[in-house]
Amino acid sequence: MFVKVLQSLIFGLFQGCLYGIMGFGLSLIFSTVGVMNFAHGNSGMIGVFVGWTVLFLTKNIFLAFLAAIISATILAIFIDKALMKRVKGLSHSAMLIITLGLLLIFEGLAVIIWGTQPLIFPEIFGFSPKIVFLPQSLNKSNIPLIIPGNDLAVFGTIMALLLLLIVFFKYSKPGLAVQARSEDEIGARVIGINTQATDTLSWIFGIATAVFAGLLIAPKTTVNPNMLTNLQFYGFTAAVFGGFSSIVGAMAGGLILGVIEKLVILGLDELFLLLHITSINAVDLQLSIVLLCIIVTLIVKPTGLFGNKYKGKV
Amino acid sequence: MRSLTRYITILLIVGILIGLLFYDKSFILAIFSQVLVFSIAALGLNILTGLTGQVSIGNAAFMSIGAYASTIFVMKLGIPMPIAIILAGTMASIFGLIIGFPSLRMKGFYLAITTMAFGVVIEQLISVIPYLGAHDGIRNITKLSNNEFISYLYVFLVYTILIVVTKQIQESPIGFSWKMVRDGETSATCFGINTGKAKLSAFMFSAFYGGIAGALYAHTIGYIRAADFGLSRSLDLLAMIMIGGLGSLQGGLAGSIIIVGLRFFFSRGFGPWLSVIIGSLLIIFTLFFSRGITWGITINWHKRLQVPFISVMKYFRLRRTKMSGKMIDIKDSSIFYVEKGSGKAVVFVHGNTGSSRWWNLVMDLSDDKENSYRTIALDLPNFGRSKSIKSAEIDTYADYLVEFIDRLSLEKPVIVGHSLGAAVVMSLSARYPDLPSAIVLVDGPSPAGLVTPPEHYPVIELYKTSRELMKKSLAAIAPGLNNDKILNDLTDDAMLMAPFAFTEHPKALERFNYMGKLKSYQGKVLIMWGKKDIIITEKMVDETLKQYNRAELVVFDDIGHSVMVEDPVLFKKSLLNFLRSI
Repeated sequence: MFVKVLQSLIFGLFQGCLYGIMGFGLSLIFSTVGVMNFAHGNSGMIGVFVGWTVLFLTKNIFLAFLAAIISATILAIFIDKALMKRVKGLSHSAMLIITLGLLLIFEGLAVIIWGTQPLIFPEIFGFSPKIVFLPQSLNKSNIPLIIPGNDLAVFGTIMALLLLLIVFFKYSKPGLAVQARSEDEIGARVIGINTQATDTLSWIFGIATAVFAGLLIAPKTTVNPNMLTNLQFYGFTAAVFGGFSSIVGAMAGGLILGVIEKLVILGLDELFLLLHITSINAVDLQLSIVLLCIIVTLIVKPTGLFGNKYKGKV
Repeated sequence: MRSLTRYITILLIVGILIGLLFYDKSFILAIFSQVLVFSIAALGLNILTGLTGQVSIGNAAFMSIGAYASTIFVMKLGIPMPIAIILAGTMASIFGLIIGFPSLRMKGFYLAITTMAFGVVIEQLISVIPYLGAHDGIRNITKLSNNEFISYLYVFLVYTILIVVTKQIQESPIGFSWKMVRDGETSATCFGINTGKAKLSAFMFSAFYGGIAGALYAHTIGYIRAADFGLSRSLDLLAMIMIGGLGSLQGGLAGSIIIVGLRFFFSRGFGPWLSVIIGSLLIIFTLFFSRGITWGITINWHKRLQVPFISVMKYFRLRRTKMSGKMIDIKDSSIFYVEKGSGKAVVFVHGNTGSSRWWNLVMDLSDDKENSYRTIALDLPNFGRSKSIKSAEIDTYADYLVEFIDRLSLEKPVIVGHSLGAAVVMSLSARYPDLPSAIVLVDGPSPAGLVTPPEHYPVIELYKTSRELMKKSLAAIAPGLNNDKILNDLTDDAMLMAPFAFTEHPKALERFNYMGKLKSYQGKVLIMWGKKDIIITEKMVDETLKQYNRAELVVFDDIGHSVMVEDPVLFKKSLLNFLRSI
C-alpha cells in the first residue's frame, strides 16, 4: 500500500507540474489583463504545431523550441495589440468572448493547415524509466516503484523554468512592473509604469509558458488540435486552487491537483475492488471527485489556497 | 399593462408568421426550435450573469438535468409532458439552489470555476449511471409533436411566456434586489437587501429556465447524451448572452441566432472552416458591438438611424409652418412669431427645446370680457423657425427679446417666461427693469442657476439625433399632457433647435446667476409652479420668491413642469387673475 501511495505521489507530481505551468500563464494573464483566457490551450497548440513543423524540416530540437517560442511571442503580441487593446477597459466580458472566438479560430486553422491526423513528436530527453525496489520493511507485497526518467526530466525542466520566472518577476524591473500592474493598474500608471507594455509582456509570458508546456507534453499526447484542451481545463483549476495573488500559487495548486487526482484514482480503485463494483471505471469519476475536493476547498477558503482576501467594491 | 399586451401580441404575431413562412421546411423549423430552446437557456443565464452579476460557466448542466428529468418522467413514469417539463424545471432549480450556496462565499473567477466544476461533475455522473443510458445517452425520446411546425409553436409559446415572466420579474422587488447585488453588494446590504437570498433566488430562476430549455431540447431533438451539455455548451450560452447583450431580454435570442443558428446554417460543406467562421464572427461582433448587439442596435437607433427621417421632417416642417406666423429681422437673426387679438401686450417666451407652439393653447385670452389683450409668442433665436445665432447665452436671448419688443413697439408688455424662457425674463427684468409692466415666471430656475448633472450630458447629446428620446423626455416634463398629437408637434418643434444648443443651454443655465440683482425690478412678479415638476424643486421656487420685491406664488397640485400644455384652462385662469390685479 505504501508503495502504491508513493507511486501515485510521484506520478501526481510529474503530472501536476504541467497543470501548474499552464495555470501560471492563465493566472498571469488573468491577474494583469483581467480575462479568463479560453484560447490559452489552443494558442499553445498552435505554437507546438509550429515547433513540430520546424522539427520536421530541420530535425533540430533546439530550433524547434526556438521557433515555437517565437511564434508564441508573435501570437501574444497579435492578440494583445490587435484585439485586446481595442476592448480593454470596455468590459471583461468582451475580452472573454474574444478569447472564445480565438479558441475556435485556432482550432479551425490547425485542422485546415495540419489536418486532424495526430502527429508524432519525439521524446525530448530519452531517459529510460528507473525501477526501484524499496526495502522489505516498507514494501511487503514487493511491488516495484517506477520512476519514469522522461517525466522526471520534464519535472526538473519545469521547476528550473519556474525558478527563472520567480527570479524574473521578483527581481527584474519589467517583472516587478508586471506585478505592480496586476495589483493596481492606476497606481502602477501613477508611478510611471507603461501598463500597455506590461500587458503585452504578460501575454507573451503566458502564451510562451503554454507553448512550453505543450512541447513538453507533446511526446505523450501526440500533436493534434485538441492536445491542450484538457491541460487548459486543469490549468484553470490549478490557478483557482492556488489563488491568483502569488506567482507560485498556480504551481503549488497544480502539484496538489496532480497528487489528489492520482490518489483519488487509487482510492476509488481500491474501493470498487472492495465493493465488487465492476460496471464503473474509476477514471470516469476521477475528475468529478477532484473538482468536488476543490469546490469544498474554495467554500472553506474562497480565494484559493494562497490567495489574499478579495477586495470587494462598494 | 397596455404596452405589455402590445409587446406579447407583436412577439406572438412575429413568431407565428415566421413559422408559417417556413411551414413546409421542417429542417428550418427544427433549427428555429433549437435557436429558441437555447435562447431560453440563455435567458436563464442572463438572469444570473446579466442581472445578478454572477458569472457561470456551468449552466448547460441545468439543461442536462432538465433534459434527463423530463425524459425519465415522460418515458419511465408516464407523466404528461407539460407537467413533466415543469417538474424538470423545478428539479433543475433545486440543483440551482445547491450550486448557489458556494456563491454566497465566492466571487468572480472563483465562482466561475466552481460552476464549471459543477457542470463537469454532472456530466461525468450521468455518464456512469446505466439507468440514464451512461455514455450512450437516451434515444427515441417522445417528441413534443410529430409535426415540426406544432413543435416550433410550442417552443415559441414557452419562450414568449418566459420572456414576459422575466420582464415582470425584472421590475419586481426580486429583480431590483438582483440588480443591486450586481452593482454593489455592500451597498445592497446597506439598503437592507438580503444578498444571499437574492443570489440564491437568481440561481434558482436561472436553473429553472435551464431545466425547461433542457426538457424542450430532449423533446424536440429526441436524443440526449451527457456530452451534449458539456463545458463547450456552457461557454456557448455565455457567448450568446454576451453577444446579445448582458441583462437584455431579447439578447439571448440574438446571441442564439448567431451561435446556434449560424452553426446549422454553415454546417454543410464548410468543414474545419466552420469554427474559423464562427470564431471570426464572435470577434467581429465583439469589436463592433462590444456591449452586445441589443445595445448596439439601440444606440445606433438613437444616434444614427433616425437622422435621415429627422432631416426630412425638419425640411417640410420649416416650409409648412413658416406660413402660419410672421418673421422679423432682428440683429443678425430673423425671429418667427405668432400673435392674436389686440389690446394690452402679453409676450410669451418658451423654454429649452421649446417653440412658440407651446403657447398655442393659451394664446386666446378673449375669455376676459372686460380687458382685451394682444398675445405674442416668439421663437427665440436658435429655436424653432427663427434663425440660429452663434451664442446660446441667456443674456443674449434677453437682448434679442428686448430688441424684439422694441421693434414691435409694444408698450410696457407683460412678459411670460417658461423654464429657460423664465431665466431670459429674469435677466431682462434685472437689466431693463422699466421695460415690462409685470412678469410671469412659469417653472423657472432659481436666480442662482440650474445645475445639470454631468452624467446627463451623454443623454442630452442623444436628443439631437433621437426624436424618440426627445419625445420621452418631453412627456416626462409634461406629465399631464395626454394628447399624443400635441406631444408629437412639440417634439418635432424641439428637433428644430440648433444642434449645438442642446448641450449649450444646460451649460448656460449653469452659468446663469442673478442672485441679489433682481431687487432693482419694482414691478409685480407671478411665479407658477407645479408640484410634480421633476426639474424645478420647491427650494428653487422659494429662492426666486425671495429675490424679487413683489412676487407672489401660485402652486398647482397635479401639474408637472409645463402647466400651459398640461392644463391650459387652469393656466389661463391664473394668468388672467394676475393680469387683472396689475
